Amino acid sequence: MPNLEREAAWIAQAQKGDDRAFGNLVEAYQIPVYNLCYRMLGTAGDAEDASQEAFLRAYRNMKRYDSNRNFTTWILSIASHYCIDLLRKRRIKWLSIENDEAGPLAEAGPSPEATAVMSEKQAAVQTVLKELAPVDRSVVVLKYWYDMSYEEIAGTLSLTESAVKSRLHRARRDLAKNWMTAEKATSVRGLRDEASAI
Amino acid sequence: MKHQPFEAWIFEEDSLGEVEQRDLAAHLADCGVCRSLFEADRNVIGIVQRAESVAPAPGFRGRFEFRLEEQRRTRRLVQGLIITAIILAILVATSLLVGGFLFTRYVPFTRAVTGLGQILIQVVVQVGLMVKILGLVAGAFLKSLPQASLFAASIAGVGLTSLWLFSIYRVSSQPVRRF
Repeated sequence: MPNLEREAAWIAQAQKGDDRAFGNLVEAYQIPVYNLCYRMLGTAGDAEDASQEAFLRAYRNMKRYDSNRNFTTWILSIASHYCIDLLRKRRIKWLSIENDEAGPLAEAGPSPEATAVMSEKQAAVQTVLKELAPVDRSVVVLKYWYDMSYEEIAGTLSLTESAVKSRLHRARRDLAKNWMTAEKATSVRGLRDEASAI
Repeated sequence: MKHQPFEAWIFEEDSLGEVEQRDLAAHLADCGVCRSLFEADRNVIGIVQRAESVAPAPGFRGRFEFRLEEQRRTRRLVQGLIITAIILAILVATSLLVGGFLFTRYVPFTRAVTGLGQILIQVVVQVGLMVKILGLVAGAFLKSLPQASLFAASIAGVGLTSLWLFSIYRVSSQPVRRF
């Protein structure tokens, strides 16, 4: 992320039509925007298209951007709305939290065994997340992955704070219940496998 | 055992007061159902929080710039087509209106113009036999056409050419923005 002064200068220049300044903003925000799209849509290809489209929309609406508003919130808002619309239209598969196509940025990872366990869990989370409505997915991702406040999420998704809270409450309850169901199914399957092995 | 309000409290960690948190902890110690729900919630949220950051393939900015330029080109083309269609429609309508008006109101004028054309053709055909024959053919062809349509066609031709030149000038004078 760029420092605030430099970012403000780029925004001001981009609003005057400076393409190079907007290019700098693309460079600076490509990772957060891409991550959101990836979390929402599930594949690297869809995330690439969606994040490119989000930046194109931002470019077209740059003159309407209110500089009092946080630029991160604004750009993520464009990306989330685009992904939500896309999901509603296409009902495409929900994302794999597991990163299988794009390269991870984290430096030191856990051990291979721990990674394998985590991958299984993440695949299971993917299954349960798939059941959530697109807006609820956004709320969960923005809250727990981007660590946004209720106010910021409300601003990003054009919702009220109370709507964000109630959506998050509902999403968490559904996630937990679906998670429990998935775990039960896995343990029953495990018992069956053990029985058949005996 | 009653699960409410504890079940709801599990998902409201941020807004719980100290007393509520204590009551929830006590309930979770006694109630296996709510404890399982609590653990499931913390598990899922933990995994979402720990998910690794992903990066787009290298050259994201370049691809964006390419798409932007492509969009601009498409938009320019569409704009050009729309402008041309509008100009053509206006020209056809104007030609029909003007041609019809002149034909009904200014027939003597059109006759004078045609007469002048005939004189010019006669002068030209004197240059040589070949030219004379061609001139006669052209004259005959022109004579065979109704005067109003001749007039309308010439107005349309002049108008179209000048608007075409003007639109080329406008399109070519637009700056091509690059990064």
